[in-house]
Amino acid sequence: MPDDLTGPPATPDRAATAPAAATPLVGTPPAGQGGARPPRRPSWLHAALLSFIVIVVGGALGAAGYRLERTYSVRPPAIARTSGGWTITGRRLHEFSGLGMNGPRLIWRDGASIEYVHLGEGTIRVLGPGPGLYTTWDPAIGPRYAVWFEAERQASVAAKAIVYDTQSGRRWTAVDVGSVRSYPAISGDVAVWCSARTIGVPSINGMRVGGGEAFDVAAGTGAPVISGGLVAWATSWTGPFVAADLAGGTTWPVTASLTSDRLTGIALAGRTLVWGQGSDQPGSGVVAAVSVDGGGTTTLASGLSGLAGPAYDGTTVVWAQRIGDPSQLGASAHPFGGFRVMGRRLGGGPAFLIAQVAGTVSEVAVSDGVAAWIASEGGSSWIQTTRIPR
Amino acid sequence: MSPRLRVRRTHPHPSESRDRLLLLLLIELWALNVADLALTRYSIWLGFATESNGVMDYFLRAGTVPALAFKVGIVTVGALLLWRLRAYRVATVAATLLAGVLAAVVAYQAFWVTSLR
Repeated sequence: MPDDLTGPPATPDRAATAPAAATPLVGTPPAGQGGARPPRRPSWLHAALLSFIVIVVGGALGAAGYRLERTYSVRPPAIARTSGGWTITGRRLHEFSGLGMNGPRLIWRDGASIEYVHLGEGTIRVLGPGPGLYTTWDPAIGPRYAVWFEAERQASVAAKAIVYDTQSGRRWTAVDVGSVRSYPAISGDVAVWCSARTIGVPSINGMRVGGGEAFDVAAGTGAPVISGGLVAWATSWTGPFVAADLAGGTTWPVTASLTSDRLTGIALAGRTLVWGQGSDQPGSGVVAAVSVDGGGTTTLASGLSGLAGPAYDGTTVVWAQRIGDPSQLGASAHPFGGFRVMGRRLGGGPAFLIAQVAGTVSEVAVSDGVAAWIASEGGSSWIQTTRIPR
Repeated sequence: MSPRLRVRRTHPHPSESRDRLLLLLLIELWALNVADLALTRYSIWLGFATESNGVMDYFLRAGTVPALAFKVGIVTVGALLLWRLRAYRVATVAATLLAGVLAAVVAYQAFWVTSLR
């Protein structure tokens, strides 16, 4: 640090008589000039400039550190707009999972990270896990709140339900979940899931997100879905279904025609339950719907291979199916290969193509006329959204 | 006593221009300190951060005003101490390093908080 930035200090009298325009910036008189030019007072401007440089250099180092951390440690996915929606491409080797969509809000799990994007903004936010926690489970998202579970490790019996408010940007720990038995589902400000608060006694539980109070829905095991005050779940991997009315506290079995294959997904909107069943056998997949109040089962699609989904938003059922026989993929049966994302409106009309995907589709979501899916191919994983054709 | 064991004394080098730089650095340090507290408090309110400094965590749990009083108070004491030692070059060097490091911390926090909102 230099002792003097502008030369020796001047007396007030000398400074007052020195002509401002004629004095040099550095005020030490040149040798041999006999000190004819009076030294100038130290400059505040010079000191301000130096201190500003210190702050700017420090700030630049902080910004560079942030950028390095995002690039090499956090590594959020890349997002790009396409002609029909968005493509979100993972930068890490594991696949995305837990895709949830509500309106323009999209949420998913990326390894241990919970990531969120508002499709109107196109900025990916990393919401979890929180400080000191390393495990997350697939999230769910409603019109305002997103909910997921976090714990120190996968086998933890002390998982916590975390809530993110998409309006305020806040996240908080809502309730203790215990041992996680299913992912959460959310509708409005009510979330439901299956967990064992005490070891060995799983039950369907719920909470009101805004108020933070937890409640029991029913005894039993399953992955519940919720729409309004109605909750439904399958009691095993092949069914049957049970429904519960949160307001009345009643529970009843849902009569549905099920195959013997494993459920690939269930979705609930209004009082209509939609599900998919299938096995590894080509052509075994079925997508069907039934009213939880009774009535016949409506088969929406059958003979499907590699079924993923379905998802249902109250208007359109969306699922993904492998194109052709797996043994012929990429050969003569279908030069394109891969998967098709299909839709069918429950109000009527045939199934229609939403998109063809050059990869394996593992999950689908739908909301407000937009379909989204998770696909993977050759070690890369991506999420694609597109508007459903009218 | 051997010359090698002799203690090297630092002599004061008063300088009005260096005093001005030190004063500005201390004011900036003080302002950055308040910004650091505001960003930390906001990150905790958002639910994305916890205070890892046990002492500061105690005051933050007590409330924003106690945390502000403690943090601003301790930095003010430090700044006054550096100002008292302004005749020594090392006081300006220390203030430069402190202001630079705190500017880096505040910039990092600002970018991080922006990524959450």
